[in-house]
Amino acid sequence: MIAHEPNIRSEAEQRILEERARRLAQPPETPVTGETMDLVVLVLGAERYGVNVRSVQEVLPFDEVTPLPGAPSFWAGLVNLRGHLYPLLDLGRFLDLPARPPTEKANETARVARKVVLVAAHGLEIGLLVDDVPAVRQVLRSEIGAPLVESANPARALTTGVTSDLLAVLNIEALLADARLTVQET
Amino acid sequence: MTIGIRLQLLLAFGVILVCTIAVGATGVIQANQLNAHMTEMYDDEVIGTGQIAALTESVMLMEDAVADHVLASEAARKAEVDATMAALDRAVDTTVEAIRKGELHQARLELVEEFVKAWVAYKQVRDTLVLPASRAGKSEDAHRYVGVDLDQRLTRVQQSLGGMIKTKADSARDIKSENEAIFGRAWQLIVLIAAAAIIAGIIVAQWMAQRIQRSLTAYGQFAGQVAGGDLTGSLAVHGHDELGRLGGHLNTMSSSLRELTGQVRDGVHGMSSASAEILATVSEHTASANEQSAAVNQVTATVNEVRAAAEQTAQKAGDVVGLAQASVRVGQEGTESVEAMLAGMAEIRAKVEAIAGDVLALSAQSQQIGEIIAVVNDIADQSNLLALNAAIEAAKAGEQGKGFAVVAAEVRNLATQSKGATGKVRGILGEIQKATNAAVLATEQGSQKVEQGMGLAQRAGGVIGELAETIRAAAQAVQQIAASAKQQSTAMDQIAAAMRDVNQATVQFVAGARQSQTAAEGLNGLARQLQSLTERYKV
Repeated sequence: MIAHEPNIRSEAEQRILEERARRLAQPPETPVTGETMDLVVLVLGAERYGVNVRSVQEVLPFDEVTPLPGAPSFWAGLVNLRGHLYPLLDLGRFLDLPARPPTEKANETARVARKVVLVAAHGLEIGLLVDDVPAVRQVLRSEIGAPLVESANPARALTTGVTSDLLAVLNIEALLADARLTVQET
Repeated sequence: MTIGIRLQLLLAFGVILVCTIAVGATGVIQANQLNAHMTEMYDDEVIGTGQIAALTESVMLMEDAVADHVLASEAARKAEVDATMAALDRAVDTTVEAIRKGELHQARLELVEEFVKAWVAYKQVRDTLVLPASRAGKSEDAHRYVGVDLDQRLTRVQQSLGGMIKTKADSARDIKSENEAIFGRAWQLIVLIAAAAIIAGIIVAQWMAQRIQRSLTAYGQFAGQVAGGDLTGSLAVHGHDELGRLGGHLNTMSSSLRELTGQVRDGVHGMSSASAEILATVSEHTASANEQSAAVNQVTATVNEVRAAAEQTAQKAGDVVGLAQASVRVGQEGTESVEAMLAGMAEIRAKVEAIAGDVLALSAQSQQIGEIIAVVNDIADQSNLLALNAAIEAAKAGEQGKGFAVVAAEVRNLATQSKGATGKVRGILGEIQKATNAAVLATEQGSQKVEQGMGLAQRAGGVIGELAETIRAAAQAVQQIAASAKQQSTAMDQIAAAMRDVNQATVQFVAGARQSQTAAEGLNGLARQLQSLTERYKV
């Protein structure tokens, strides 16, 4: 116990140092000039996406899912949220993203951190299964560039652009209007 | 012919005996016939003649009595004579009756009847004429009657008596001539049979003498040969009687003698070589006895050395006994030390077990801390999510939600911090758990080591006890060795004494061996003599 004391002290010191580093790393408060947009950041494997706050209803912890037999593999199943059933879309699989390296630690983190983001558009409400929702960001619309041309990803059609820090903005309206989803629904 | 000599002799003598018996029997039969004739003659003639003589005498006495009666004057005398006459009458009647009974010849009986008639006539004249006249006293009449009538009658009586005597004499003459004839026949018969017996005896004797003599001569020659040392021949034997058997036995005897002589010769030969061997052996014995004497001296010296060694052994064994007793004391001290060590070990084990219990309790408490941390972590997660949703809602609210967004960011910050803190605490707790596990493991190992140590100590105690026991046994054994060594020393003395006896015996043996040598030489000479003796026999 006594032997661990210097360790604890060093951890405390480390925490203080991290705090300082984070504070210093904060971008300087720039005066908002122009139209801004709030994005909910989604983590899918190694990729990060942004979703307009307006489309997001709620972020919930991922608990359990009822599988849908016969449905395409990107449908994870149905989730029960406060008495309502919502179809749950495995977004990573839908966007053909490579699965995260299945290290034990990563799985652990994923299991703990996986979340359901409830989105709505065109009168439809579905849950998106994502690996993490780390933050809500405010970006200038002017900062959002054209989508990356070289990307062969099917998500390309669904992205409206890329922010300065390489955050792909996902268009929920387009997603929910996607033929694959609707065809499968009928 | 298979009849034995005995039977032959018996037969020969039987023939002679039969002839002799025939002679004797013939003689006896003839003598018997003679005797019978003599008896008959005696009965008929001698007795008959006596009776006739008695009659004659009675008649003469009667004549006298009649004369006396006539001449007598007194009546008493006449009565006396009357009685005598009556007695004579009775005597004549009795004799006549006897003659009648004894006489068998009819012719002679007629003669007797004739006498009886004459006698009756005589008595009639006497009783009717003479005696009455005499009684009446008429002597002259009486004399006349006696001289005429009675005399006539008396003459007739005497005549008949004379006839009877004559027939008796004739009869005796006949018997005599008959006896002479019988004697002549018997003599002839006896001479004939005796001659036959003599001839038969001579023939049988000649035949047997020939038979026996032939064999005996051959046997005698053979026996002479054997006696002379010639054992090569053998007898030709005929017949199966005693002589035949004797010849067979002689042959057997000769062959036995032959075999015996051969064997004696071989034996003598063997004896000769054996006596030579004995001589050589006796010489060897003498030499070996000398060696033995030297060896006995060596053994005596060795025995003395061994005795000294045994005494030394006894002394050393005494020293070892002292050492062993000291070792036993040390072993007891060792056992006590091991027992003390065992007690200390038991205490250590109790303490280690107590420590293990404490560490386990600590482990359980740290588990509880882990559960509390999990709860805190969960709360932090939920706070984080709550803050995120708050931030979303704030963003949706636009300018009005700006302050709320700051609050939400702070809440998220706090949640993140508490999550980091719980992570660190979890890490520390993990280390604590590792440490407690290690401690539990260490206490278990310690407990095991203590157990092992106790086992080892017990074994050590046992080993020390056994060692002490072994040393005690060794001490006893050494005491026994000491005793044995003393006995050994005594035994060595006895052996030395025995060796002296052996030495004496050896000296005596040497002397005896010399005597044996002399005897063996004598034996050798004897064997040579025997050999020359047996050479005399031809085999």
